[in-house]
Amino acid sequence: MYLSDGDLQAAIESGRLIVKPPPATIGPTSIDLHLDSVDQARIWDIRKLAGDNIERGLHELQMNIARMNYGKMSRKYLVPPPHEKDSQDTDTVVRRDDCVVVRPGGFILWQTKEIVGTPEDKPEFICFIDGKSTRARTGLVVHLTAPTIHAGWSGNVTLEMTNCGPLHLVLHEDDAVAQITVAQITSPPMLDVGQHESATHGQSDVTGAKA
Amino acid sequence: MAALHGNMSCELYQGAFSGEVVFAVETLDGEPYEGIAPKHYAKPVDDLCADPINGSLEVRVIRNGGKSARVRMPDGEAIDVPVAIINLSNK
Repeated sequence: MYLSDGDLQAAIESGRLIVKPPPATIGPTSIDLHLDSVDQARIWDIRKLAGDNIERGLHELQMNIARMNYGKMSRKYLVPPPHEKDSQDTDTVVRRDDCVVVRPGGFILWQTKEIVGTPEDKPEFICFIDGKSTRARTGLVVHLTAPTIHAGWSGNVTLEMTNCGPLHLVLHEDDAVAQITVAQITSPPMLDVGQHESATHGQSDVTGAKA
Repeated sequence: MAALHGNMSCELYQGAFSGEVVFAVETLDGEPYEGIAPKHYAKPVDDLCADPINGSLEVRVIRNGGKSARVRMPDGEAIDVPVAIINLSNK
């Protein structure tokens, strides 16, 4: 059961739904999310990755995602987009003054200004990240297969954005590019059901097995 | 029974985004694990940089017995770690 505007407002006021800073407006069944500072935009440094891979005798852009050490990889290879004047023709994401230009095919990670989620103890809701229809019509995708903010988690959301359209999309701080919808869960997660095995247990370095 | 809160000793780095940290811990079988978490799950977070500092991360303790504990971390993953690096909290 999805929450409508009055229930969203009540959930925020009671602390059962975390949205910080609190939204200025609430849609009929959603709350807008805004891009954080342009300094919080990141892209994968594929040139550095390729160089490291070749040095190890691997295919230049290989990434063994099932055994990926994301924490280490993000520290090493997530970087701000290059300034337009320093960019190359092949760069699909560039910084231009106080904005970021995402060219067709470009992929960028960008943190939301809002901290969103639910309290760890006895969470009642699950949140879903979604795009906004007018932005979607330009070809902007704001999340890739991972729309769920699980019950009991809160934090800045990292949007995985890509430009699937033909235009050069210009993004600024405070742009409302995404929204969340919120649904009630049947009971708080128990966390100890079954023998969950970590997908990344025994993870290796970024590049993993040889091609 | 609901999982307990705990603080897991770990190394902390500044994450790729201002709102997140990278935490590093050695699992029970000696494998290194690095994950990401929103900053409010970790402390200290004031002086994070590219070099690791010693800190702790809030986790949920799914099982706790003997020499090992199974913990669920803010990145959603569950791993087995030496129980010695876990402090149960009264949160």
